[in-house]
Amino acid sequence: MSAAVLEIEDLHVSLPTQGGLLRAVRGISLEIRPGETFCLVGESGCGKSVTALAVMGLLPRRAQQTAGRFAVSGRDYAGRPPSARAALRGREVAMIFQDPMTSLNPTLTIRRQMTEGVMYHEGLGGKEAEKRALDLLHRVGVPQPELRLGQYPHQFSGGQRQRIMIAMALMGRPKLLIADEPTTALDVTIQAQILSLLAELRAALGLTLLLITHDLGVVATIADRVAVMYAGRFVEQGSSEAIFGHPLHPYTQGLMGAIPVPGQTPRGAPLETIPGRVPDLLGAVRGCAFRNRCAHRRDACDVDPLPRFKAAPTHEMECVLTPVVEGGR
Amino acid sequence: MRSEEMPEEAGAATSGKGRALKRVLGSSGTVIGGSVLLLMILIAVFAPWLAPHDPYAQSLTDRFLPPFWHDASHPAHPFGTDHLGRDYLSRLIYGSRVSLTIGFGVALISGVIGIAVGMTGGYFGGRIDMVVNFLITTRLSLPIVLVALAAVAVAGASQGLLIIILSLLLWDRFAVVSRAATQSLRSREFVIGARAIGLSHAAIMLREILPNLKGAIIVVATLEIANVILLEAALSFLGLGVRPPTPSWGLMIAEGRENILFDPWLIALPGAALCLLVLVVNLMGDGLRHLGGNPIR
Amino acid sequence: MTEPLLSLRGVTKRYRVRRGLFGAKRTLTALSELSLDVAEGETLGLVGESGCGKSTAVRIMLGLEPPDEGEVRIAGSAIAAVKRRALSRMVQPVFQDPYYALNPSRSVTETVLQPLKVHGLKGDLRAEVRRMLDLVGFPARLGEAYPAQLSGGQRQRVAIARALVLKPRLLICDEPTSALDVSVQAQVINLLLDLRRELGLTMIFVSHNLAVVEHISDRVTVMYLGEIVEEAETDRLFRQPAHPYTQMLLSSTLAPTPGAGLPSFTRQATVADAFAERKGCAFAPRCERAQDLCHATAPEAQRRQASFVRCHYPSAAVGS
Repeated sequence: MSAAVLEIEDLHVSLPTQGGLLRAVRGISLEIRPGETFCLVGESGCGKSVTALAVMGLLPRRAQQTAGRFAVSGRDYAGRPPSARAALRGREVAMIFQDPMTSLNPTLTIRRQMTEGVMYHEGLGGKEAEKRALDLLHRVGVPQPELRLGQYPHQFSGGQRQRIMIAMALMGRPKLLIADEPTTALDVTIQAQILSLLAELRAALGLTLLLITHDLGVVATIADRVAVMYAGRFVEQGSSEAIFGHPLHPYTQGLMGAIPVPGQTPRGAPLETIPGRVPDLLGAVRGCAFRNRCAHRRDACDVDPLPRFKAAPTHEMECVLTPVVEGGR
Repeated sequence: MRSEEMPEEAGAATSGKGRALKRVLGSSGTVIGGSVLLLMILIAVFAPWLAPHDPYAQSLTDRFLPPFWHDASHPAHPFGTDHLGRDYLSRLIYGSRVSLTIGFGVALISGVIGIAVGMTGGYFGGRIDMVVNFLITTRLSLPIVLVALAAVAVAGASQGLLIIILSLLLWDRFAVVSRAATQSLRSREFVIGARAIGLSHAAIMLREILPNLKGAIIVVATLEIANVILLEAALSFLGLGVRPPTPSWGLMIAEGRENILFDPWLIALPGAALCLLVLVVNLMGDGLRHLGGNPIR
Repeated sequence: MTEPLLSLRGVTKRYRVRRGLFGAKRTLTALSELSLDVAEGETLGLVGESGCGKSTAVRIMLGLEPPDEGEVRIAGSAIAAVKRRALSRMVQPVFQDPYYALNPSRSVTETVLQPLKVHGLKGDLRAEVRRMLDLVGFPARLGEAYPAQLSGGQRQRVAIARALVLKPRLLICDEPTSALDVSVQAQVINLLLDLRRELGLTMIFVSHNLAVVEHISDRVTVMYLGEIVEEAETDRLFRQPAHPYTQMLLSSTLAPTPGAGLPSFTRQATVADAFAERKGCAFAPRCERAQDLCHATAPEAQRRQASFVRCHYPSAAVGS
């Protein structure tokens, strides 16, 4: 089997702020295999976007980052400065963002924005670069690509812009595409279109996807594997079926109960809520970060390191609880 | 009653104003600037009690006495005397009155004009904003010194008139800033909410939007004050501002010009006073920015 | 039958919009022939994608903008004839973004107190504010805090308290949970459900999140490009959507159930164009079932008991 596209062990990211050191990511490990869709899910401030930027090597200069292993396509970059990964951007790893309007330069044509990178990185001629751009625009479902290449971002609708962003990210033929809330700014029907486009491209180009979202519906629809992030740690990780079928961690369970599901949640019944609020990640955090909001709190929650409970080879959570796993395994 | 679902406890309940104040006091520039400015304002206010001599009293026998660091200085006149034998320290003290009155007066009046014009344009938009834009552009196309010169030539110079002329010429920066800030605020939902509780447009502008412009206005005001103080000095230097024998720093520099070779302090002293005042006003404004906060976030 | 609390009849609103810097002005029809009734005590869900006219409808229902054509009646009288102050005691809004909905320069207590002061009410206003903050579950000790110090959920509670302090009969919630995290969204929905029960509120709940609308509404109205394309009692709309657009919306809504898959229509990249010249059905350019008739003439609303659908070929089942 080929090497993992991305392998991270014990990644920590701290950001110096006015109030002190913000521990945004506190020791996460993940392994993304070729061709799979890995979803990072969590609420705002849980560290999911910081993780994505760390993978891209795009964290602000003041950020402090350490990792036991940080391997892209089998090459370890741990201990080396983030700038060492600059050459990977665009060619190994590419990223698309939530708001395509602010990530596109409004004063340049789509042609210029799409071809500039590869012409510089790969020394491609203008003709070849344009040919690749046309091919990709066609692939992402932008009609009349020849005409559209000469246009500016404001001449496109939101969904079209996101398609262009995706095409642009694919110009350098990356292996891993990171999508940070790619559909949050879009209408539901457009969201569905973009998600199926991503799924299609993954199959056609052998892409690996790292999708970052807060939307459990999106996760359930396209993820192979899921990591639930809370206060800078993965509290639960597993296959999509396992996470949605048998959520183990109290936080995951809380999230699932908090969203109404048409046809399942009785209309007008109170939804489950998670009491309290996300802890302050300034300074050191001891024990389980979720304990103050958790119904199962006990003394063991205060002790580091927390036990990891493995429900299945691919499904584990970080909690003192040892739930009975359904399915009798 | 809903304690079980009372969520998210606010972690830090320290008041926002307290924190801003701490930040303001935390920067040494602001503290120094603020205290020196306060000192200068106090000096201007209590000038009659502080000045050792009458600033207008001439004594032709005591002309061009040098200041205290000179051997030939006279203990009664620590900063020396000018070409008419007037006590220079007293004139400097009284001169601060002119600078500060004009500086603050113009900032106040032009601020009121500019904020009113800018907010009106920014809030209503459309045709009204086009008119406001036209006014701002027209104002920007007028060269300040030349227009002031013409106005003074026609109407004659006096401190009150100078304040009015400069106010009518310097409201543009207030207008531009408050127009932009208002534009970004007017579509905020709290403005729609205010209309939904029955507030009039005027009340919304005054009670909902104006408090949010505080930070931006303070910054513009301090820049304007410094600008006006320099402008007054320049106009007085050119003989278009305050008329002799009123002690104004700009005028004093102009009067000292003829003796620059033999008695350079006649220029250096009012020049230094001017520099110091402009510097502390700027320092102060820089720090005060934090108090108002940034309205456009 | 008693008179509805709010009723819109044939409400049309057009804007003259300049496209681009030097483009010619064109007419954007934000609302066209909108008619709906909200009965006292019911919750009406208003669903549609961006640009469908939801926000314009909200402003018109709040009486902040007059319609170009048609009539809006509230509690039996024409909204245009109701004085601003009186109207504000009948209907109040709750907005999407709690960051923009509160004046950043005003403390929580002042924010909730302000409507009472504007209306010149007498008595122990502060006690009323405390009661209101308690009702929405906002901790009293944070009363002097400023919006910047509060979390999104707390801000939304303050916004709701402010809207309710004048004791309106109708609450118009414009995407009240879209800017919030899911766990906080659940808290706000629960709060609205509680308040509705305790105060007997009538609500219009505008959202693009169908799951939330389904959970809270008695009846749902689906809008597309300024028109109501379908309206039905919630169960019926979700079980048997008749309009192809409603069906498209429902199948695009992603449930947190793995393996549900994506809808099949998704390669269709067209989007709604509010400026387009319209002869036939507004949805026809995106519709899979569109026939010649659909492109030629606009369908009339077909009423069936309490529901209606604006389609030449409505169907009873999804995707069939």
